[in-house]
Amino acid sequence: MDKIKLKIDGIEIETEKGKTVLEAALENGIDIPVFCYHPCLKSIGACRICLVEIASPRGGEIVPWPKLQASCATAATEGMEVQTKSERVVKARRGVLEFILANHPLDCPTCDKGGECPLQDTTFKYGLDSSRFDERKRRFSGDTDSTFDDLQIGPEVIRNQNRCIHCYRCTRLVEERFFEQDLGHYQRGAFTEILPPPGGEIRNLYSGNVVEYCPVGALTNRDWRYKVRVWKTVEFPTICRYCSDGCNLRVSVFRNKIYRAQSRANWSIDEGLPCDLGRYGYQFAHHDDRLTKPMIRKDDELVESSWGEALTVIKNKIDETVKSRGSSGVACLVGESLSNEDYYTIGRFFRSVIGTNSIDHRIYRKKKLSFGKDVVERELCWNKLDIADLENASQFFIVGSDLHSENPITALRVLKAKRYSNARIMLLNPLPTHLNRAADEEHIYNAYSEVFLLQGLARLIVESKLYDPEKANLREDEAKLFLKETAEFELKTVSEKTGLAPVVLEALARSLCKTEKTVFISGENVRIHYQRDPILIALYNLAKLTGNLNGNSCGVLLLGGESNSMGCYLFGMRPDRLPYDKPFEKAEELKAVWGDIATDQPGNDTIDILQKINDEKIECAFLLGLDAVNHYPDSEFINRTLSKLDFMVVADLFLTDTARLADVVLPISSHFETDGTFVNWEGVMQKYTKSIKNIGESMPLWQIFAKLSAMFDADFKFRTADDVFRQYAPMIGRDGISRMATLPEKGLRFEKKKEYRDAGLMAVSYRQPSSEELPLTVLSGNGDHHFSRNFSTRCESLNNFLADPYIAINDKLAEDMTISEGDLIKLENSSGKIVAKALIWQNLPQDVVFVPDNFLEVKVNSVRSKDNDIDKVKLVKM
Amino acid sequence: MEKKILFANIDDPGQPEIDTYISKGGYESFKKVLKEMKPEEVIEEVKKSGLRGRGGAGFPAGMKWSFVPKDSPKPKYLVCNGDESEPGTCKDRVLMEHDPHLVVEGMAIAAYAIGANHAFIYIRGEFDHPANQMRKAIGQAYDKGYLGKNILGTGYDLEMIVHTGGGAYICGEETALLNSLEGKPGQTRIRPPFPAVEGLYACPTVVNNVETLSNVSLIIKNGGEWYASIGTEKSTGTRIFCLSGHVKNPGNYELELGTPLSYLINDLGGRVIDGKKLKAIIPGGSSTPILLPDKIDTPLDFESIAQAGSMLGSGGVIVMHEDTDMVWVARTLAHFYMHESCGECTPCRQGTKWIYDILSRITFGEGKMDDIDLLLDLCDNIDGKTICPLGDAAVIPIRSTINLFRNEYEYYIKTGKPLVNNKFMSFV
Repeated sequence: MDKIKLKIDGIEIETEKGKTVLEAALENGIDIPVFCYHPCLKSIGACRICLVEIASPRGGEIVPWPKLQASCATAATEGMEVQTKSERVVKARRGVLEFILANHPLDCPTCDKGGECPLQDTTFKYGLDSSRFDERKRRFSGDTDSTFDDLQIGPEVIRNQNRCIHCYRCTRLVEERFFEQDLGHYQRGAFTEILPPPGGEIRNLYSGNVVEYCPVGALTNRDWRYKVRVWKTVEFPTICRYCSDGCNLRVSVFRNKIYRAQSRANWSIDEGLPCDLGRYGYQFAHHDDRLTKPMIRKDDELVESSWGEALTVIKNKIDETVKSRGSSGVACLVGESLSNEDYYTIGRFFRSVIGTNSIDHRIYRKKKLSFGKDVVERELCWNKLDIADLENASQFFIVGSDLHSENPITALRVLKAKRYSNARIMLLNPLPTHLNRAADEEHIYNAYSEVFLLQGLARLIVESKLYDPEKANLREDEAKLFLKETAEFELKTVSEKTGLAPVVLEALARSLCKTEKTVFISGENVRIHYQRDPILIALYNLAKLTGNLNGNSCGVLLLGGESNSMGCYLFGMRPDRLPYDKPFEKAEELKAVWGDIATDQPGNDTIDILQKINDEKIECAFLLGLDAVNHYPDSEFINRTLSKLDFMVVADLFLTDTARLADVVLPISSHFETDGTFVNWEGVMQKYTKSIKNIGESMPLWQIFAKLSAMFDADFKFRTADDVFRQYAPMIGRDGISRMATLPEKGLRFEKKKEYRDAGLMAVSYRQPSSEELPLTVLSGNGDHHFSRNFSTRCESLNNFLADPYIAINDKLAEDMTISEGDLIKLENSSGKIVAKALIWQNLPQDVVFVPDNFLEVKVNSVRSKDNDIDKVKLVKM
Repeated sequence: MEKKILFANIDDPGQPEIDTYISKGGYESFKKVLKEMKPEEVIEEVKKSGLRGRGGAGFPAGMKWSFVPKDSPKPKYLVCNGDESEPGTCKDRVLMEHDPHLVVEGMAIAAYAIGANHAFIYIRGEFDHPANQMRKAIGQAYDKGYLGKNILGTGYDLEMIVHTGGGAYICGEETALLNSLEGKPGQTRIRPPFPAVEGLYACPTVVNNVETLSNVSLIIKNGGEWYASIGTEKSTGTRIFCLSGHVKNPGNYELELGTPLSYLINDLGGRVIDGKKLKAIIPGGSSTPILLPDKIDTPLDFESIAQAGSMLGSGGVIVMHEDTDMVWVARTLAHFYMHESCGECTPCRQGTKWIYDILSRITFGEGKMDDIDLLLDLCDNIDGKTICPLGDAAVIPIRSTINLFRNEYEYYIKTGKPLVNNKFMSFV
C-alpha cells in the first residue's frame, strides 16, 4: 500500500493512498461529524456536515480550493492541508446543522433514538443553543391514529418521516449491500419521503439494519419502540445462535429482560449487518412457554419437581442401567446450538463418568455416510476460506444451497463481491432461491441429480480439454483414466438427468475454466443428500480441474448447519473423536485430566444408537437441546423408537414433542443466561456473555452435568463456564489463551488454515435413489425469516414476517388441480401426511413441492421415511 | 447583430422532414466525418471553432470531448441534454421541434468523435411535441441509413435513443440526468469521478446541450475557423437568446455573441411594454444575477456579462419594468427552487424551503426587519456548500434582489405592502 502524508489541522499524518480525507482524519483521532457517511456504503456527500477547507500543492505552492469540500467524498492526496476547525468550516457546519434541525421535530422526549442519537450528539457538540427558524415545521402524517405520525412500512419497521434528515443511508444500504428493492425515496426536496414501493413493504431478511443505520429516530422497529429508555439499559455482547455464520450481537437489558439485539460489528464476519434472525431472534428467551422447573414422569404424567429429585432419579437410573447392561446401555444425542462448554462437559461426563462413547449430534441424516467416512467433511469444513476472503473471489458456483436463508451473512459477502468487484454468481439449485436477485445465471436442475450435474461438468471439462494442465496439476494419463471411470456421465445422459440443455452445461464448464478464483459453495440440500459424499467429491474434482483447489479466495465450502455445528465436531460430540478433534489414539493429554476413559473402540453413531434402542440394547438415552421427534427425517420411526426406551432424559428450553415422551425433563438456560463460546463455520471461536439471570430454575447444561458428576463422586468442580473453558484451554494450544476473558474480542481462529490435499481426480458413481412411486418430490428449507427447527417460530417479530406454514406448489399444477392460493392441501405417502395452506410459486419445478421446515404445526418429517432416499408424495386437495 | 445560423431554416415548415433537410445539404457533414475524418480531427475542428457549451456553464465543447479516455475498455456514451428547464429559457425546444435533424446530425458527429456507439437524448418530461419530433426524425434517419448498424458502409454503428424525463429541473444537471437515464431518482452524483470518466452506467460519457450539438454539423460543414470568426475572440459563434418579460416582441433571437443587450431588448424586442421604464434584467435564465438598466449596453458575450456582474447562463433574458415587485420576483423564484430541489443535500433541501417560507411571510405582511439579514446569511450557508450548482443558483435571485432593491424589502416589512403596484398580489 502506498502511503501519503497530509496535514490535518496542522498535524502531519500518514495514511494509505485511496483513503478519503474523512477516513484519514477519523483514523488519527480527529473528529469530523458525519450523518450520511457510513464505512459500509459508498459516500455520496449528501449531508454536508463533514465539510472541510482544503488546500493542496500545485506548482510548488499550496493553493486553497475555492469551495469547502465534503471530506467523506474527497480523496486524501500527498501534501494536502486540511482545516476542520477554521472559522469558515465552523460557520458552514453550524449552518448545515441549523438546516437539519429546521425541520426536525425535536420530539426527543418521545423519540426512541433519544439518548443514542447522532443528531443529538452532534448538536450537543457543534450546534447553536437557539434557532432562527420561525416557520412551521413540515409535517408528514402517518396513516395511523398515532399522535407521532408513525407509519408502518414493513412487518417490523415503523417510519416517522418528520424526523428524517435525508441521509439516504437506509435506501443506499438496501440497494447497495442487500440488492433488495423494497425501500426507496419518493417526491422531492424537503418533502422527500422514505417509503417502500407502492403497495409493498420493507420485509427483506436484513430489513432491521435500516433501523440501526438511521442516524435519527425516523426508522424504528416494533420490537423496541416505546418500551424502555436506552440509558436505562445495559448492553452485553453476545453471538447469534441461529446459522453457522456467527454474527456478533449486543443485547440491551433492563431489569433482567432483553429489549433488543443490535449489531456489534466484527469486520471479518458480519460487518455490522446481521440479518433479522439475529436481530429479533432473541425473543424466545422470554417466551411464556419456557420451562422453569425440572419435570419427572409420575403415573404417566410429567409433574414438576425439584432439581435434587430430578438429578437423583437420573443418577439411580444410570446406575441401574450400567449395572444391568453395562455402560453401552447409555447413549446421548445432542443438538447443534449448545455451547462448547456444554459439549466438553457432556463429553467428559459420558466418557469418563459413565464410560460410553455413544455420543452423536448428526440427527439430520437417515443413513450412514456412504463414502470415505468423514474424510471429505473434514477436508471441506476445515478449510482455508474465511467469510472475509469471499469478497476477493471473482466467481461463485453455488450448488444445492439456499445460501440466502441458510447463511445470510456469507450471502452478504457474496453480494459484496458482486457489488464492488463485479464477481459472477452462478446458482444451481433444484428450486429457485432468493439469491437469484443478484445472480448472473440461475439454473434449476432436476431434484437429486447433483451427482450427474457436477461429475458431468468435471467430465466435460476433461473431455473438451478446457482445463489448464499445469493449474489443474493433471497428467495426460490421469485425464484418460478419469474419462474411462466416468463413462456413465456422458454429456447426453447428464443433460437428460439434470434437465439442463447441453449448451447450458457447456457454457457452465467454459465459464468455470475461464475465471480465476472461483468459490464452490454447497449447502443444506447437499448436507442431507443421500449421496452427499459423491457430490462433495465431484465438487472437489471441479475445484481441482479449474485450479481453484489451493490459492487465495478460492476453494470448496460445505455450508449450512447451525450456530455451533462446528463446535459439536470439535468438542468430540462424535462416537469416534475426542475433544479438539483428537482421535482415540491421542487421548493421553485428556486422560491426564479426565482420568481413565474407554478408548478401545468407538461408540455408536446416531444411526446405530437409534437401531440399538429399537433392538432394546440401549435402555437409557439423553437428548440434549434437541427436538429429535421433529428433527429426525422419519417421524414414525423416531416416535416408535424413542417410546421403546426404558428411561429418557430430555433437556431443552421448551416442552417439545420429544420432551413430552421423556421420563425426566430438565429446563436449560438459553445462551443469554450463561457465558459460553460458539465456533462458526470458519472455525472462529467467539464468546458470548451472561446477559440476564436464569429464567426460572433453568440451568445451563454444563452446570447440570457438573452437578451430576458430583453425585457420581467424580466432581468436575465446574462452578462457572470459565472453569470449563480453563480446563480445555490448554488443548487449544495458543499462547495467552487460558481464560474466556483472554479470547480476542473478534474471535479466535480455532484451527490454523489448512491447504487441501490434492488427491487427484476421484471417480464416483450415481446410485439410483429408492423412493415410492408417487409424482411429487418433497424439498424443504427455511421459510422467510425463520431458521431450522430452532426457536425462530417462538419469536413474535419473526412471526410478523411469516407466521403460517405453507406448502408451495407450481402454478400449473395448481391450475390443473384447481387449487388457489390459501386452499388447504394435503401431501400424503405411506409414511404419513401433512396439511397446510397452498402457496403458488410460479418458478417452482412442476414435480417438486416445497415445505418450510420451521413450523411445529406442519412436520415435514412425517412424510419422510428412513427407508427411502427420496421422499415422494401425492398431492390431495382438501 | 442578428445572425441566423442555427435558425437559418427554422421558419420552413418542411424542415423536420428528412428529405427537406437533406435537400438543403443536411447530413453532408456527417457523411464527410464518417468518410474523410478521424475522430481526433473532428475534435480538433470543434476545438478550433471555440464552441462553448450552451447549457449554462460555457465549458469548451471540444475540450470536454477530449477528456474521454481513448483506451477505456468500456463502451462510451454520448448524451444530449434536452432537459431545458431554466426559467426564461426556451431555445432547445424550438430546435428540437423545428429542426430536429440538425440535432440528430450534431449528435451523430459528436458520438463519432468520442467513439460512442450509443447516443441518448434526454428530453424534458413536459416536452411532448419536441420528443415526438425527435423520435420521428431519428426514425427517418434510421430509414435513410444515417443511424443503425454499419452506417453508409463505413462500419460505424450508432444507436440513438430518445428518453423523456419525469419533469425535474435538476435533471438538467448532468449527473442527475445520468441517474435519471439509468432509471434512478434524479439526484446528483458527487464529482469526481467526472462523467467523462465514469458517467452513464459508470462508463465514459459526454453530456452536451442541444444547442451546443446543433452547432457541430455547421462547424464541420463550414470549418472551425469560419465559426471562430463569428462573435468575439473568446465567445465565438452565435447564441439563441430567449427574450421574455415586459417587452413588446418576446421570442427567440439568434444573435452573434458580443451584440449589445440593448439591441436585443430595444431593437428586436421593441422596448418595454406600455412605455414603462426598464427596472431590471435577468440576462441568462433565473439562475443569473440581475442587471440594472445602466448595464443595458453590455455586449452579450461570456466575458463582458461576467464583468457586468452576471452570467450568460442559458440565454434566457427576462425583462422587468418599473411596476415589478422585486420581493415578489424573489418569492416566485424561491418557490421554483424549493420545488425543484432534489432533496439530496442538506443546505439546498432545507435552505430553499426556509428562504421561501421567509419570503412568503414577508409578502403576507408578517416580515421582520431581521429577516433580510437572515436571508442573506442563509444564502451564505447554501452558496458553495451543496453538491451541485442548484443551491448556488437558488441564492442568486435572493441575494441579487436584496442587494439591488433592499428598500423594497424594507418597505414591505414596515408596511406589509409592496412598494410598487403588484397586480399579482391578489392571487396570493
